[in-house]
Amino acid sequence: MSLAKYFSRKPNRAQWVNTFFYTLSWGLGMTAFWPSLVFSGAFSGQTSAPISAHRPHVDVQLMKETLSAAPGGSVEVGVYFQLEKGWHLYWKNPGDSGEPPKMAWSFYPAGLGIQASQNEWPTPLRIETPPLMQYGYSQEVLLPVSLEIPKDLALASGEVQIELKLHWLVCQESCIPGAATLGMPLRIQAEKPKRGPQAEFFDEARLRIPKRELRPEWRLSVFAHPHDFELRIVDQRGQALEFSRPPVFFPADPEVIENAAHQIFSQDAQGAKLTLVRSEQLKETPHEIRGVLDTEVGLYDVSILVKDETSHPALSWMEWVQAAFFALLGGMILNLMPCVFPVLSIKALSILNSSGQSRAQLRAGGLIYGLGILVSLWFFAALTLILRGSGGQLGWGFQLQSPLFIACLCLLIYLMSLNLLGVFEISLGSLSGAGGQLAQKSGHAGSFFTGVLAVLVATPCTAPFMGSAMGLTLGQPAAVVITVFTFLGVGLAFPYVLLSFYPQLENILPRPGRWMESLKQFLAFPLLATVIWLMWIYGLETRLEGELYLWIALLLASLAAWQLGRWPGRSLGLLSFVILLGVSLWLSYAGTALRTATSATGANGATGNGASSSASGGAWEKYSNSRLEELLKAKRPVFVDFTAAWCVTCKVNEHLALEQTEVVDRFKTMGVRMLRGDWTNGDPEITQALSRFGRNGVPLYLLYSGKNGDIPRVLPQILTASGVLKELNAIAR
Amino acid sequence: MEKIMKKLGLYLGIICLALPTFSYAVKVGDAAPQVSVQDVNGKMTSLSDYKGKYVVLEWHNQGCPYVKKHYNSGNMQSLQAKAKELGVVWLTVISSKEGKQGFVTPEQEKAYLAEQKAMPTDVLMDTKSAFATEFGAKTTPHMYVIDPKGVVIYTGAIDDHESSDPADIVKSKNYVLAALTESLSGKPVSVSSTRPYGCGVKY
Repeated sequence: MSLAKYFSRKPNRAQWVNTFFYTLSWGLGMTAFWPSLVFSGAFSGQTSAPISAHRPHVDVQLMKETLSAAPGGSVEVGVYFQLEKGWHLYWKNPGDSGEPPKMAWSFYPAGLGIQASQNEWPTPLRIETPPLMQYGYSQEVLLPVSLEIPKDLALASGEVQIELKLHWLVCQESCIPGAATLGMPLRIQAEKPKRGPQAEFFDEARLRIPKRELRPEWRLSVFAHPHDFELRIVDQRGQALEFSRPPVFFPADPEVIENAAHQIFSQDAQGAKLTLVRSEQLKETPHEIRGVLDTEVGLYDVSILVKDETSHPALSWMEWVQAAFFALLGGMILNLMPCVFPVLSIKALSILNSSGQSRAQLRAGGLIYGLGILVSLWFFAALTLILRGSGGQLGWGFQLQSPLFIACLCLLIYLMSLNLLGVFEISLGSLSGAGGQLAQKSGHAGSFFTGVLAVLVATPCTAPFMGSAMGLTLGQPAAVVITVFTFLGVGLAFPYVLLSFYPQLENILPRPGRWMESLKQFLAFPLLATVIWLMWIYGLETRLEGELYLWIALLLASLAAWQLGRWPGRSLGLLSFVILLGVSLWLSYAGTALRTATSATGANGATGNGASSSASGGAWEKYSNSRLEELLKAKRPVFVDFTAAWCVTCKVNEHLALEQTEVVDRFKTMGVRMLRGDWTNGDPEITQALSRFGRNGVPLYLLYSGKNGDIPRVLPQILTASGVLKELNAIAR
Repeated sequence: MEKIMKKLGLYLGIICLALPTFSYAVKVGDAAPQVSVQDVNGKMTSLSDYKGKYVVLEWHNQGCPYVKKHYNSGNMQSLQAKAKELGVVWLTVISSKEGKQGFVTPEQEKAYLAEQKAMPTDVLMDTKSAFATEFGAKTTPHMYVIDPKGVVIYTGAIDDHESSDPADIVKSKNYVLAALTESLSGKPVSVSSTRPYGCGVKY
């Protein structure tokens, strides 16, 4: 580099330091004929290697924090890179391309026993060259190394010679490898080391070196999903975390996350969340994710154990409680079914009549009955999970976007409602007999099998519930399946267990009677309502003809159910039931084939109705990448709503937040343009837009402030009117 | 009960989030994308032209030190010669966009091939980075091996020494050669996916 160019560059501290010493040595040399040799000798000693080197696009220099080191102590040395504008050096994980610098230290005279640590890596920057992403440094960086000086080190000369063999790669658009051998002396003396002129460089580098200890009040967790990792930051004191700039995660290992993918940040009452798109090349979910978390309150070197939730996003605590509560309620209602209630009554009577049994025995019996119920329900949970697992392996999608799944679920729930209405009955034949005998046993085995009996032998009544529960939970995380079935069981067992503890409650039990049959039949109607909901979703995803296929499938299913109920117990009846059901399934499948044609032709036509007809006041425009770009170019604030007809959360959000008058008015007064992307049919442009934000599903809400180069704010998946207003206030500032 | 159904419906709605994502990087086991691109002689070429044969793709940038490591040492040329012997098609792909570093005209590329004594079956002039985008190629070199059925059986680095130092070649295990040898003798490819190293592809 020419001297003129050297001075024309914006000087930074290293240059000032250098300039200072050059001037000093020059001045001293001029006045006292002090050869600069003496001066430079004091700094570079007898080493043949220079302390610094100019290489294409980068200057490298050895530095030390203190002027000397004491035996038994340690000293910080390091190599300082100064990069030409636009050029960069790489971090330990370079990202999609590049290579980190490599260093090898040696000390002379040899065999002194000085140990060099691994160098520290200051937190890098994200260097974007779409579609690639690198992690590295621009302008300047000091990579510090700690040297351990042995206790008994004594040298005649009083100093050691440090030598560093250094290799690196610098890139702008092209990449240039570089190498240098650098050397400098280090005084070894017992007195306390003094900070040298370069100490400030080390202070500054330390500010960028991630801490190994996380803030004590923070708790980090990573959840693995099929397409992303969800990094959660939670404050253990339960305080809300307020980040004004999204944290950035730098992965220490290559090919764990898609480096170039946008790291989606969102925060809610439970804490902050960073969504990292899983690398396409990652075969197995790692046990832990290591890297640097760069936040506005600090830089942290973290390694976080990965919790595997193979297919589903984490449910919040509230959702758990709700699932458990409704399952519990359902379980309790099951007790009123005509085939279960008598069992309960008989048992209740037996409690009253069991004068011979002690209270303790009664209670134990009650609890064991409950256990019998729970075990049988866990059997159903396991069955659901096995079905789901094998389905996953076969590539079946148990999701509401898969029309075939909806059609099958529709058929199943329809059959179950017919069953409740008494069109046909499900019986397990000899199994019930065996169960009955087991249940008649006295003692704990009897209690246990009565519990099993209440579930299995009461199949004619419980099947519609078990079947529906299995179908509806098939698309759910394993934990939800287990929760739902466990609490169904707890609910089912609850009245009897209560009775065994308080037998006097028997007096307030209603008597079995016709009302039970009426209740059972009545309960078919909520199931039929579910069928309507499923038909609606199915209709949105396929064409009208597709829905016709499903109607016919339901008709055939009715016929199958009817003939089975009319002439029960005949193998011919069962056979025709199976055949008719098979044809219905085929019809549902055939109906779904019409789907592809729809997405091609009806992208903004009829199929969009479900999602956009509920839009308020026609202020919504159809989402497209080009429209969004156009609006952003015009510096307009934009709100993007990615939704789908089958997405209940989206519908709830639209109703409770986006269509509220105060929100609609604020959108209007602020001139926020509203784009709505309807993903009911899995429009690929929207799929792509979603994946840019690390999402693979709806809802996704984006708010662009319209200012230059702005990263959109990602709103939470559960919207409230006040939350949206708060976000709007934030961009108005 | 209706409430339960409604609730479950809501959960199902939330669960819909876990749907297959749009993916752009080619993985081992995927069918190789079929994109047509001009070759060094100006002829439209696509991978379907080589169906029934093993194909090696080599992402190339003659200015990149990592590419130079393998060309100046003759390592890449000897690999190309071996591929030829085995009846394997070798396609060198240049994906630097026009105006970006590494972009060359067909004439420049022909001169380079002659000077380097390189012998790829063909060179694809991917001047719009379309080929690279379809594959998700990241670095030069980034290597892919495709079997006669058109399925990707190897993707990643050329060898196991991530450096631009030609001295490392002797001690390196060449992944491409290993994948070809294993697959040609009917064995599964033992190392089928590695992290590619080198300069970034100049999209």
